[in-house]
Amino acid sequence: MIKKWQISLATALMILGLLISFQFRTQQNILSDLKKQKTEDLLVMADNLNSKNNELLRQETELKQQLGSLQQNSNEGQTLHQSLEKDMANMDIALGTTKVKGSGIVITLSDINISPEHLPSIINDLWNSGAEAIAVNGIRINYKTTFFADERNLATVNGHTLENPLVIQAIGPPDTLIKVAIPGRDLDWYKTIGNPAEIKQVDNIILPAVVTQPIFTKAIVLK
Amino acid sequence: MWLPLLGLLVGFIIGYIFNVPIPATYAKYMSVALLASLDSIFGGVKGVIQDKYDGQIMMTGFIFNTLLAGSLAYIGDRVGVDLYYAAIFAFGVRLFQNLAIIRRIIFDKYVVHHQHPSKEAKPEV
Repeated sequence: MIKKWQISLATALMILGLLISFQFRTQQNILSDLKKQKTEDLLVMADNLNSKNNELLRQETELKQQLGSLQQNSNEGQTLHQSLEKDMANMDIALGTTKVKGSGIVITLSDINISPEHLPSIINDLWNSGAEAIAVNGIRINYKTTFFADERNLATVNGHTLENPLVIQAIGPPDTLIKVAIPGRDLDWYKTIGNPAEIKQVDNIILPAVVTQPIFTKAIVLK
Repeated sequence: MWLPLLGLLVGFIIGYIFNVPIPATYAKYMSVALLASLDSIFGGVKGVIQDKYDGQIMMTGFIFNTLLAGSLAYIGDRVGVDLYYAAIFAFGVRLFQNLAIIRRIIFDKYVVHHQHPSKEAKPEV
């Protein structure tokens, strides 16, 4: 049971507790105030802070060096990565394993079927003129492409008979490709017989990838 | 006795949480006010032990002494008289006198009584 005197004493002690905590906080602030510290203590504090500061400066220098080294490695890595990406892209284009786009020329031969013997040499002339990717009637040409005559003596590409009109698309430097109809060469022959091929520059040619992706199991790269 | 002690703890916690900033210049007036309030508390405890406790006297003494001690120390500083030290001396002496009385009463009541129990004959078991 709570007695009367306990209540009044508790109230007084509560006020005392309040005063004690306020005074305690005030004393803490006074003691931590630098202006109230002894000179010897301040000298020790200053010395410790200087040492800490020097240590931090040293760490900062080390970290900056590490950062520079890492950045350099990163840049070299990025350059190597970009170079590898470029090499891979070139390989894809050469193998025909990827869709490509670019400027070039389109050769159209209408009203006449191209001779099976002429097609490979026209393709060769295009490669020699700087073509980087070629497609015939939508069929991408690569190292595995076969050209032969079918039973009707019509030209075929990878076994597909080439129907009229023949459209050869070539991506490459348009200025040199446009001169592919070299006099005396096979493409020029069609001009001599009165059925010249139409050759025009096109800015945006899109060529499909080869249908069958190449797989190399026996050839080994020699370094 | 737990209620008064609880009151002290609660007061301390409240004061710690709601930190009222007291300027450092008033810290010494606060300290003498604290001493005066401590003196009143111990006077109250003495009254409880002696069964002469009067809550009104205790509370009025507590508030009056606390305010007076702080104010006199402040005024003394303003007029160039170190009443601060006089207050410390006065309340300090009273505080320790009260403590001595409390100690004496507790000792007489609980320790001496225990060592010299009643002399009435007790039936043997």
